Amino acid sequence: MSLKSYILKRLVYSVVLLFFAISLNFVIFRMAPGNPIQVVASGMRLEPEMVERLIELWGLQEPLHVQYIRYIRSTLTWDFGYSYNSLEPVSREIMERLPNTLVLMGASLFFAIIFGTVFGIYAAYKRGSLYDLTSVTVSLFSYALPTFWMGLLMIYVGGYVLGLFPLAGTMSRPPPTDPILRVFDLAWHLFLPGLTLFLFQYGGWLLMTRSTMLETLHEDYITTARAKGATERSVLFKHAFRNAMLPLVTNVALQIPGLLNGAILTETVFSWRGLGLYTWTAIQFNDYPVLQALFFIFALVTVVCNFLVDIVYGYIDPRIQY
Amino acid sequence: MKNGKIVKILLILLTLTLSITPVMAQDEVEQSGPWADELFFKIYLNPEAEYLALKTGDINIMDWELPAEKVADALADPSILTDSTADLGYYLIDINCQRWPTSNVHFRRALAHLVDKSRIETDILQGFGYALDSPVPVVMGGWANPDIRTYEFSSELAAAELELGGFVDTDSDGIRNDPVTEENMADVLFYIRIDDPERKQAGEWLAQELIALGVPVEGELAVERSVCADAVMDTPDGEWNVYTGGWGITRDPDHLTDFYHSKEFDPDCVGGWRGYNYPGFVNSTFDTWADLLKTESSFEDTKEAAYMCQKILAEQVPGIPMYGHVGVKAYSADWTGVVNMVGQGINSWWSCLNMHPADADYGGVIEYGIKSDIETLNPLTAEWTYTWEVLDKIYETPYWYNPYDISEDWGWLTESWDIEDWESPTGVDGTKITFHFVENAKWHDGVPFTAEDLKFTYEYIREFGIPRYLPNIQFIEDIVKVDDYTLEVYQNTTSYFAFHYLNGPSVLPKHIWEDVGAGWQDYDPVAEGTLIGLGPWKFVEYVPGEYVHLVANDDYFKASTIAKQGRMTASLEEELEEAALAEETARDIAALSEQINELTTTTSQLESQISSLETEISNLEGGLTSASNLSYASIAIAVVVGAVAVYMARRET
Repeated sequence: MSLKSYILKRLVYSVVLLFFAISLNFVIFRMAPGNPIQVVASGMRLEPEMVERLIELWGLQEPLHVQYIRYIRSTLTWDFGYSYNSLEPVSREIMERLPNTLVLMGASLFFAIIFGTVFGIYAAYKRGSLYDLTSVTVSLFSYALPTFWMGLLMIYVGGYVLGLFPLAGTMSRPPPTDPILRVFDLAWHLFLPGLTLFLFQYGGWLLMTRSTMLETLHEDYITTARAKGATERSVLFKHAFRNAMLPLVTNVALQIPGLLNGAILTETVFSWRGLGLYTWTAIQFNDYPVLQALFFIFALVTVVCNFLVDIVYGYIDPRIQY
Repeated sequence: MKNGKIVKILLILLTLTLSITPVMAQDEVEQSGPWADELFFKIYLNPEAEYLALKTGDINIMDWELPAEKVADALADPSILTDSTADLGYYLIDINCQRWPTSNVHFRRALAHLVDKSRIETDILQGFGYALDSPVPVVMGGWANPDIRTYEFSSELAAAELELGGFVDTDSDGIRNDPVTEENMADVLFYIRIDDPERKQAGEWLAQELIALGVPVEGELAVERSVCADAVMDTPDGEWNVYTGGWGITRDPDHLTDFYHSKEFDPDCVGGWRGYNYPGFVNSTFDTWADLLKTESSFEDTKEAAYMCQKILAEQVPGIPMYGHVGVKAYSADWTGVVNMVGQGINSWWSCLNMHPADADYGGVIEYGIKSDIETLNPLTAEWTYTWEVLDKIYETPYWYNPYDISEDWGWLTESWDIEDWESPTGVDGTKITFHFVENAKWHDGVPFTAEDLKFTYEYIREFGIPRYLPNIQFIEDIVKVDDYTLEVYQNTTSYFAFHYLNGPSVLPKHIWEDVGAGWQDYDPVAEGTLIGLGPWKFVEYVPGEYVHLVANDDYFKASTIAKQGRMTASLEEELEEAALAEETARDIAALSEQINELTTTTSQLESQISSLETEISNLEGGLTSASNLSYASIAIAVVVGAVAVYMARRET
């Protein structure tokens, strides 16, 4: 099979998968308990004409198949309707919040990968040493701690006791007008939530890197490389890590969807206006259009990332045949 | 032991605070303002962060209730003051009156005897709540009937009620027998909300008490509100017996009619659910009083109807009121003027109007911690409570009410009003309400407020069917503007509460909203720069997810003269300072100009001297050049002469 036909095949698989995800998204929310009218009413007394008006507004009077077609059409055109809670267009609200989530999750994931990988390689290289033991213990500890608890601890220590960082939000008041100062201001606000998420992800990365490196370090080709007189640096990075990075690359791609939904607790604790907080608010208020849109985006990102992994894998692993 | 002591101390403190709150009453409320200069709403999505922000001075007042474990710390901190308030709401055991065995009144009374309210108070609420016997909580003041049947917690009394109902264990197998089938009783289907730990615990205790009395229970631990709503409220068959419910209510006790009148029960779910009366309580005597509650026009008659409704509900037990919540909120001790409003607490509209630094008569910036981002600043689409914490400072309703006695209306934008009987052209008894407005109210853009604005507001809501406010104007038959400051509203109801309905919508500026028309749903007043109200605070800026900035409206019709004059004086002083500074700067500039002129003169003199010197140098150079030229010529001549002389000499020889 040629690369072209392989990509085409994966693309078709991805589209079919995405279609099922979209359909499931429709079914789940239609099966969910409670009706949206009551959600909006939330204890408020609604007159019959008001109920009719809302039913008409949301097209709930139409048969299910019509609603389904309308739903597919609007999803594909990025029109997710109006939030039950704010009555604002969902797509606009998502786009407003997306940058904050990308900054928070991107920064924490970037540093977690760098530090987790480097220290993981070293821990594997120094297996059984005090360094290895300490690294593994710290990683297990940081990985196991609940993020909301760690977030509160960060706020208490970094924001209150030391008074070095803000307790909430993404910018100072008033925000700096100078673009460079604005970046610094964002970084200052990002520090505590970013550190919280970094610690959570860092442990996982270190443990995974260490584990895959340990496997490769016992392979025959490593012994051969050493026998050929390769330097330890070359053995570690050119021979061992190059082979160990295959599962790590997969994991990076698969973690990206988690970027979008993994920040729910962190964003809530730090009042960080991103998609995680948006999801949390939508769950609280049974805001189905918002949840439907967010689930669709999570599904889309997952499918796209999986597709990319399949393609990238072919390039970085010469053993893969199309 | 230590925790126990803390809890006891808290209980005493909370009880004391609760008991003294009504005594503080009106003299604590200043009916003018705002006294502070600016108001910032800062968003803190969790109470811990907001509390720490209060401690660090980032905010002056919290809207989150203090987490229980923080109360002792707040009480011990001299820089923080706390106040407690009972919520306008209550938690109860809902009972399905349409399904056996809970359709039996003796069974329901037995259930009421099995709810241990004092244990709930001490072990579950731990001082953050109080036991209730009526669906009208005591915070509603005069509306609560103190003389209704109560149910002492007692398994003996419960057993006696069960036996009265015929639920007796005839075969001594530990399970009571059904008086109809004479078989062992079928399971009582109990929906317990587990998303709320307090209701979960109270529900489990009741279930255990029932089982101990030989009543089989099938506990449905519903994960959250909507699951319960589906099973309890949305199913025509009503396959449930008992449910741990809860309601938020308003300042009027008309919820008694809404929750228990038979017309509010929709067994076939035609309207999509079983209705507000989802327990299916049908009682004609109650219906009569419930109708009177919503139609009587005098306070006394309405109160009598409310009392009778509570009395019947206590006898018939379609629900067992359990408890109401008490929340503790904190604010900075550096500030004064905080108004602990009934049902809302210290983070009230009145606090924002009255607050100012304790060491000054006015001024300062109120930093108000708010527990949620706002969703929209469109007053017609905004539903979210916390959005209204901002919007109600900008917009104004026709009148206000006493924050310490919510049954007492206060003149405000509407200075006074008359309520008269009126008969509609169709012969329906109604009321005519005449509003007399203040004459000095101005919109934030300076346009004067007139009766036309309120008339427009009601008509706009009706024309475009604004969902949030349709219930408020549902009884309006006609609106007549008498003059710029007098408006007559004709309603086809005699209800005492109908006057309160009219106070729901915020008054809209006609000169802005008449152009919006049918586009109200997508209208964004912030983007359009038209977030214009009549309220005590003017909108400045909203940064999504971060803060909302408001400034004091010095043209507010209830503006505090002292604060306004103080601010004007401060502003004038600032201007004078600026002017003085400008004058000083001008003087400095003049002096500098003079120096520059002098320097320029000197420079030009120097330049002319340099120029003459240059000329001289040039002349000299010219001279030198001529001299050197002459020298060269002389040398040349000498050479020529010499050469000629040599030639001549040779020739001669």
